[in-house]
Amino acid sequence: MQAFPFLLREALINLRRHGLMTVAAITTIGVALTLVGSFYLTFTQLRTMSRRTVDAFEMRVFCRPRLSQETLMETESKLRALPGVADVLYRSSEDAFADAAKSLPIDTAGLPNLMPDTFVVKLRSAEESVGLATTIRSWMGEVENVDVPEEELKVVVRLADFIRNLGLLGGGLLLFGALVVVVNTIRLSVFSRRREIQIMKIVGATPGFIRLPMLMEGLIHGVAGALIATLALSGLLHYTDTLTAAIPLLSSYLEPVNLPRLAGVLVAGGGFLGAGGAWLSLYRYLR
Amino acid sequence: MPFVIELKSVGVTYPTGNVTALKDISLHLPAGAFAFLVGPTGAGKSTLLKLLYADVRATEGSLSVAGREITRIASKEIPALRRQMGIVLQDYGLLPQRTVWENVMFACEVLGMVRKEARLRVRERLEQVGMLARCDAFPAQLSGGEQQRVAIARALVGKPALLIADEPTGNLDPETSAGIMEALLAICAEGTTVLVATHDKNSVDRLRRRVIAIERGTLARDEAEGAYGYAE
Repeated sequence: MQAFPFLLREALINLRRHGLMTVAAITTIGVALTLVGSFYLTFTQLRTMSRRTVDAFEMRVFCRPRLSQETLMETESKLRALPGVADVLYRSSEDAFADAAKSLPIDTAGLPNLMPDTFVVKLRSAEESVGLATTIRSWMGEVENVDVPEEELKVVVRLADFIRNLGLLGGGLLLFGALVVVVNTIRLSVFSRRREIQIMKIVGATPGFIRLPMLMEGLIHGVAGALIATLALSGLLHYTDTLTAAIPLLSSYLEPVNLPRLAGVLVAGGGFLGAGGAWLSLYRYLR
Repeated sequence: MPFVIELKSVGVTYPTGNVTALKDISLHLPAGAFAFLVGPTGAGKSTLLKLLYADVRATEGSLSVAGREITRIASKEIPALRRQMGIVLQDYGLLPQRTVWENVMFACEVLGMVRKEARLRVRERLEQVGMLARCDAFPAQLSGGEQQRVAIARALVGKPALLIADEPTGNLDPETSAGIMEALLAICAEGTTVLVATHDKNSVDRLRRRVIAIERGTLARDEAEGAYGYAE
C-alpha cells in the first residue's frame, strides 16, 4: 500500500501537468452535476407544490337536519375511524350560518337558518376522497350529502402524477446522459495517457501503483466539479430566495432547500463519478 | 556459472492468424555477459526480448530469467519480474510529463526505495550517463541520444541483474550510437548482463562481442566474438 502523501503528490503533479484534460474533466463534471442538480431542485419544488395543492383539498359532510348531539358525536367518531382521514372539524349549523352571513352582501338578520351541521374532513391523501365520499354517503340516517370537488381534484391529481412521471423519466434520462458524458471525458483523459500507463508497466509498476494516483485524480476531478456545481446551484437558490421574498404566496408552496446537504450529496456524487469513471477506464489498460 | 537468461526449445505462436514468431530457440546467457541480438527486420528479435520481460508468453519450451522460471508466470508476478531487470526501448519510453529527474525517480518509487537512497541513486545514475546537468529538462526538450541516456539511467537505477535493450540506437546518428554502446559496455563491466537487439552494424562489427542471430524465428547463429553478418 502506497503512502497517502505519495498518492496525493503524484495526483497533484499529474493534474497540473495534464492541465487541459484536467480543466476539461472538471468543467464537464461541473456542468453535468449543475444540470442534474437544477433539474432535481426544480422537480422537487414542483412536486411539493402539486402535493400541497392536492393535500389542501377537503371534504364537507352535510348532516341531516335536527340530529341529536349524541348522533352527531357518533358520526364524528365514525368519520375519525375511517382509514385515510387525518382530521375532522365540526361546524354547527349556527357556525355555518354565521360564516355564510359574513360572505353575503345582504343583511341576514331575520332569515331562517337552513344551513346543516357540517363536518370538514381533512384527508391524508386527497386521492382517497372519492372512495371515502361514497362510503360516507351510504350513512343514510345521518348524512344528507358529501361535497367533494371531484373534477378539480381529478385535474390536480393528474397534474401531480404527470409531474412525478416527468421527473422520473426526465431525471433518469438526464442522469444517464450526464453519466455517459462524464465517463467518456474521463475515458478520454485515461486514453490520452495509455502510453504512460504502458511505460509504467514496463518499469515494473503494479496495477495498484498505477491505478491509485489516477483514481485520486478522478476523485479530485469529481469533487472540484461538484464544488463548481454547488456554487452554480447556490446562485440559483439565492435568486429563488429573492423571488419568494417578493412573492410571499410562493414561499407557502416551496420547500426550503438545505444547501449544506445538497453540497454534501453533490460532492459525494461527484467524487464517486470521478473515481468510478477512472476505475472503469483504467480497467481496460490494467488487466 | 549461473545463467541470467536460460531458454530451452522455446517457441512462440501468436493465436491470431496462427503465426509462428519463434521456433525451437535454446540459449543461455551467464551473469555479466554482453550479447548482441541481430537479424533482419521481422525475424523475431523483439518477440524474444518481450518473452524475457513477459510481454508475450512462450507457447512451447521453457525459460527462466534472473533465476525465476517464467514460462507460465502469473500476471500478478510480472511487475516483480520487471523490477529485477532494466528495459530500454527504441522510442526511449520516457514519461513525457515528467522531468529527467522525475523519470528516473519514478523507477525508484516503483522499486519502493526510501527517498534518501533514491535521490542518491538517481544522482549517481544520471551522472554516469552524463545527464545530471539536464535533470530539470522534460523529454521533449532533449535530443534522441540524451533521451536514450535517461532511459538507460532509469533502467539501471535499481541495479538490475539484467539489462534488455531493444534497438537502443535505432533513432540515433553513428556518433551518438557509439556513445550509447560505450555506456552499455560500462554497465556490463559492473556485472550486469546486457542483451542488445540492434541493427547497428558498425557497433557490432567494431566491438566483436557475442552475437546471437535470429532468422525467421529460429536461431541462425550464436558466435562468441561475432560480426553483424548482414548488409546494412
